Amino acid sequence: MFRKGIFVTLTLLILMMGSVTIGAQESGDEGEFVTATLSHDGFERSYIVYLPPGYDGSTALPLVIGLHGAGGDGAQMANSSGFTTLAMQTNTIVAYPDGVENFWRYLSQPQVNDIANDNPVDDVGFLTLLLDTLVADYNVDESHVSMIGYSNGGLMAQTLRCVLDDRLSSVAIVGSVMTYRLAQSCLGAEPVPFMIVLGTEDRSFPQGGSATVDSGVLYSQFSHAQTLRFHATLNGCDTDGAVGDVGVEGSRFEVAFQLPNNCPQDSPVYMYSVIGAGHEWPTQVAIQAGENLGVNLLVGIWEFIRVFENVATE
Amino acid sequence: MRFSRFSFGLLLLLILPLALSAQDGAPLTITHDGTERPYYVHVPETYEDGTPAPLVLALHPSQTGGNLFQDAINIDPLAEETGSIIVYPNSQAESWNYLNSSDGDNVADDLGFLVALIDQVSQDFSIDDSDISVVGFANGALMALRLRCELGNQIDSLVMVGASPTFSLVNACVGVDPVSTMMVLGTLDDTFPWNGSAEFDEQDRFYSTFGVNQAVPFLSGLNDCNPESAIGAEITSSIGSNRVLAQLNQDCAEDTQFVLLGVVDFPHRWPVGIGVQLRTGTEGTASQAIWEFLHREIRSQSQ
Repeated sequence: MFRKGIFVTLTLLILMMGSVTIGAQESGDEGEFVTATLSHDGFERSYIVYLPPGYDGSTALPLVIGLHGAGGDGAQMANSSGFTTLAMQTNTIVAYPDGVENFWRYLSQPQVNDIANDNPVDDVGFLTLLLDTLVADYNVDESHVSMIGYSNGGLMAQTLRCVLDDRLSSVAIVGSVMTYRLAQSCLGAEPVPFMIVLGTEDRSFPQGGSATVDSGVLYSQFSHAQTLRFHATLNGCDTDGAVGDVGVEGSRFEVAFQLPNNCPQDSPVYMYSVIGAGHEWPTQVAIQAGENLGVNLLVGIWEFIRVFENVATE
Repeated sequence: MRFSRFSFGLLLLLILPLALSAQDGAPLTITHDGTERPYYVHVPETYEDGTPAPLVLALHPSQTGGNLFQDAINIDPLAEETGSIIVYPNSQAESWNYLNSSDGDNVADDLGFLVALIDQVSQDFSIDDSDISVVGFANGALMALRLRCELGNQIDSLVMVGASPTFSLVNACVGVDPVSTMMVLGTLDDTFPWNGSAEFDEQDRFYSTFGVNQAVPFLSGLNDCNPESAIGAEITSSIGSNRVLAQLNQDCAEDTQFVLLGVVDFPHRWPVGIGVQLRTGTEGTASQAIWEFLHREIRSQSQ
């Protein structure tokens, strides 16, 4: 896969966290939300699409797919992530799909994703079909298709980073790590620009990782360091790299930044460690960007996923 | 030709067991899987033929051999008190084939060799077959873990030094018997990082080592240890300047134990010059603590 990395200075965008009302076919200066469903594998799957103001289908726009955490849904992510405002400002289409029972079955092998033994959900298949459907229904710039996942949605995003490595131009995960079983589906995957955002005090995905053996089966979350090294290796970077403090005065938390050495210019891996933060969405956290100007970390995530272009789809 | 050499070796082993003690420094061999496999044996002066002795199998790291490992870790003097036989085998390739791979650069049947070696040594010496232990460093520790998972409670205890389990080894350790296990790792070990590693090897195969937060629940989980019963302590000692983060769990299945010795600010090396608390309540070196753990009778003494 070939990507063009456009190294822009992060512009100072002011992230407005004002609430956005979700409803079918609402439109106006803030853009439009469309609720839709599609049938997949016996399930009626729902999702929300955000169309930025002025979208009329005449121009191909970037697409971001946002994957909610366990217990959440697309509407909740659209309302509280802050991405809708950024999408409005950057003329981006965003899809917020819903997991069945508010959960993503992130492993690509359906047999281990069963809800209640007899109720398998193929979320890899659903999200692949969703991408196809969005491309068919809207004027999507297929060289700019990104994914952002939080927590359980971050696990799902990592599976898709590996399975759809030829279609995604970038992926970001927040409050999520690689897992031992998920790693198996990544063997031989091509580089994809990747960002990791984690709180150092995350108890759901601890900094040192975890491992439990249940009935002879290992369930293990990677440590934050392993997660970074895994994605670095996948992208062809060195496993060591630079570490820097990118905190900004007045931010709710300090932030450390890690960048593995010798990543391909078009496929870097970034990690932001929010020092002292738990398993939470990183609101009111500022990082240095550009000429030491502070920007919201969410803007940093958004700008990261925007700058990479998947040339293979052109 | 091969047959006659094998017979000669066998003959020597059978009729001259006591003479072996005089052969420290010269390798013995067994033929396994069509290959002559060297190993070094240390027999303490306190060993008495006819009195079952503990057996310690010591497995070297990559790119070295049994004799160099024997010199480097210097645990032979400790065998005098316990009367233990120590065996230092050589891997066939530059490292141990702990995954028992049948493709790739290293396809040696190291697992079969070590099983055959234990049998051979048990024939040549009076071995207490309830007190056979294995200790290894780095790649040798992974081989030791593989052997522990393969042989279950035929192995009395396992000590992994300068290593933590790899994800690829996990599948070999499903549903295995509990075996008392000690893990010794420096917090600055760059080969087996404290927080683990995750990458792909040259053949694009996933290679990942456990961080301590994964290794401890995994290894103690194999022994069904109750996590609530783990006792943690930070040890400082007059022997060495390093601090040691220790964790002990004796609430495990079949009277097994799990011990972690995390040596603070220590690199990927055998822990020389590190002081710890011994079972007897006195101060000692990390090598002494490892030695104690390798012996059933000492290990079962209360802390």
